Amino acid sequence: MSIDLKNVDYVYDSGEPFEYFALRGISLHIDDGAFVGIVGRTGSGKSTLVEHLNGLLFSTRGDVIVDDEIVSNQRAVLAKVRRRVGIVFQYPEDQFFAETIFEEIAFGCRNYGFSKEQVDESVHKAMSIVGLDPERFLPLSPFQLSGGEQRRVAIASVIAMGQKYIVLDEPTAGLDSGSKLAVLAELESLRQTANVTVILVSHNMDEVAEFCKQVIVLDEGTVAFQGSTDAFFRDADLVDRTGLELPESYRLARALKDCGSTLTVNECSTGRMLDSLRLCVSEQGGA
Amino acid sequence: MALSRSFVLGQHYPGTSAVHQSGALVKLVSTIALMIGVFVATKTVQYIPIVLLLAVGIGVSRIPLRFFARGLKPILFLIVLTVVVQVFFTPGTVIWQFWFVRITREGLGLAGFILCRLVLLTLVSVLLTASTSPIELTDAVSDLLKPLSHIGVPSAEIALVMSIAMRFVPTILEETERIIRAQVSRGARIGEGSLVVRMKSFIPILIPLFVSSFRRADDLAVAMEARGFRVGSPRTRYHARHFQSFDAFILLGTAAALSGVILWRLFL
Amino acid sequence: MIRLDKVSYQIETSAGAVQVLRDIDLELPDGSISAIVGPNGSGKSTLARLVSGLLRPTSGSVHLLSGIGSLVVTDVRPGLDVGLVFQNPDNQLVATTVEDDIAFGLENLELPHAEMVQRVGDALHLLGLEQFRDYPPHRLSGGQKQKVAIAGVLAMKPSFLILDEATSLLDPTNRREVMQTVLRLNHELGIGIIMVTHLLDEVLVASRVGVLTNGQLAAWDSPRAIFSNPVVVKEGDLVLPLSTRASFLMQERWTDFPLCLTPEEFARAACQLI
Repeated sequence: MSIDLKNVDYVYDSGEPFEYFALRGISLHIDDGAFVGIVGRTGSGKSTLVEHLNGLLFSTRGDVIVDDEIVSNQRAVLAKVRRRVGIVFQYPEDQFFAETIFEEIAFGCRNYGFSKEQVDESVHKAMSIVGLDPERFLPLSPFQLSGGEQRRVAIASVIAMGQKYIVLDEPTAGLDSGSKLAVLAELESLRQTANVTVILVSHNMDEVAEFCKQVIVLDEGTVAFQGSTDAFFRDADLVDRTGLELPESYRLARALKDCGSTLTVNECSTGRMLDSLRLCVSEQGGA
Repeated sequence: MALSRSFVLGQHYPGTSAVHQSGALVKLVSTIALMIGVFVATKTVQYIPIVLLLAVGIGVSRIPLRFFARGLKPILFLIVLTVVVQVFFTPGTVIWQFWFVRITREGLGLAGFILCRLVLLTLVSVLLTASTSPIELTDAVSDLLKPLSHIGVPSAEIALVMSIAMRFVPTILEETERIIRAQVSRGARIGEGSLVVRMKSFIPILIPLFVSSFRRADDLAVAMEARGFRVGSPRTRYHARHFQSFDAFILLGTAAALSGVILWRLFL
Repeated sequence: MIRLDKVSYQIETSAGAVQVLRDIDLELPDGSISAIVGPNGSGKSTLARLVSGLLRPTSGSVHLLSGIGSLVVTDVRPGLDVGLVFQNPDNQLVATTVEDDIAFGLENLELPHAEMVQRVGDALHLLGLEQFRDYPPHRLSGGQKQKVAIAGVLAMKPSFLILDEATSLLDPTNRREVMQTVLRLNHELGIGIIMVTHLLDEVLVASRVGVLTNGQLAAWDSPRAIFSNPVVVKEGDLVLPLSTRASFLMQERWTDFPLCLTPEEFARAACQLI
């Protein structure tokens, strides 16, 4: 099971003088259970792409296929697709409306016809995944929480619906550094324990390098790269051409290589990079 | 996207023609006068002076006729309805009859008259809003209200409020679309089902919208204060009003058209 | 220079008085670049509003010290002395076009028409916004909107500009562009910059960094000094740059290895080592 896009075009104002290709010949494949990054500069088509995944937008040409179902605007198909793909939009706490956190999270579950017991169970489970104590938080108003807590409740309100694929658009934007890491770690554990596919749209390359094994790079509405995150960041020219930045760990490894240092470390995510540096230092020191 | 786009396209058609550059107050007064003229007329022929002036205005403005046609679109239903009612339900000399449907000479005449009236009213106001930027228009409204400030009407503040409202309509429409997308992704069905269900389905959109609008209002107040704004303090105006020769033409033309209509009605 | 003398600020809530800021002493020299960091709720935005003259301290004073030879001490006038740009660009633009928005502050100053035209033109030019003169704000990108907000503040010719998380809603490309513009303004016009931020690159361009925790100034020092103290870094909700963490690692073996803040600096130091 997977999400596949086959030669998808999306044209705004088709036929009008200002017609504009937001997506052009997009073909991609997202495997079940993966942690995939979608990156690209502003206007590269990320948001448009994401809105195709659960039928908020429909391709002008080409097919979007979610688990063998071709996304179309037929009511039955849409219901099925939205049951499978959840989206956490940017600043999701802006969608809060309910009086209590319980009601806020239960909203989606009720829309999908969960029984009372199912709603209860899903809400509690979602809260524990995002690391908030259900007993303490559920009766509170979502508006009285801190920024980091609000974000977690907003994420819980989507994952409570139990979708197989969760797309998150900049889930860490505006959070303090502690909450940032916690949110991403929670998503990783969601992926591992519930086999949920996590699709992360992000501008933060350090985050992408740290958490996403695979990455899809968009540039001017086309796929500029698709494959392992490491392979992408090793190609500094491509990173630059697509208007992105190297993560700090890759910058550091490159800078060492460029000045011909005998300290050679692998270009890789922060944690592994520090480990390899530590190893290198102890070898050098011993010599 | 769709909502905010159509709103943007509906209003102002920027340009550099004499109509665009002439004073907003002059255009506003002229528009009001022409609208009065439209209501004064009692026969279709009496519209001729107004039609002539409007034709000159549209011609000089170089705003494409398509734009005016689009302005007529929203009231198309109203036009069709009133014309149909007039054509079929006005008693008088029957000129065509089939079964119980009959068309009278008077009905046709009245329908034509009403059609002209609606179209003229729309075209006059579209020409005003298309050729005048919102800010100029609000300034003009403020000028028009200025005499009332002697009796305590805060005309400058009213104009500022109008311009802020216009500034934020597209932003709030975008915000609405954003919230709709998020709630639909959470399985919300908006505007479906029975009336009660449908009303309830708007709550998850309206509440976030209010919350964010209050936050905007807060921010905006700080931003305005940070740029030296104090309620009631005098301000100068960036848009200077210079009387242009075309302003005189508009005023004289309007005066001529209006008196033409009045004289025609009284004496012909 | 702006001088804060034992500045405290408290607000009255239903639960009683809450001390937002306590005894802040700060000196912000003309033309300097400073950064204020700290976790959410530490009082950063309140400090920004006090410095910009929008709020008055409950106790203590915020003064503008100016003049050559004899010193003139005055209160800070919002807009005129200190311009404030904050997070959400959408909520700071008042008018329906870029040009009119820049003019808004000037209208409040009751400037004569010719001078307004001149200043609006200058501000548009300075920020490279000429081609957007007639644009309505909602047709601009986030970065462009934020530049319009800066232009509107700048047209009033303040001697300081406060950016309260002004780039935090922007993507990296727009963020870099706005920051470059701000640094250019500092360089060309000598305008003092105060950034409330949590972004590493913005902290690194400052000559002085203030760390606020629980309404108190925990540190006021150069970025290098701040980053050499992991406790302060953590309290200030900053993330230690990877290069700095790597430097600490190197120092375990080579005690005189310098503290590096950027990858390039680290590489240079590493090469000299061997």
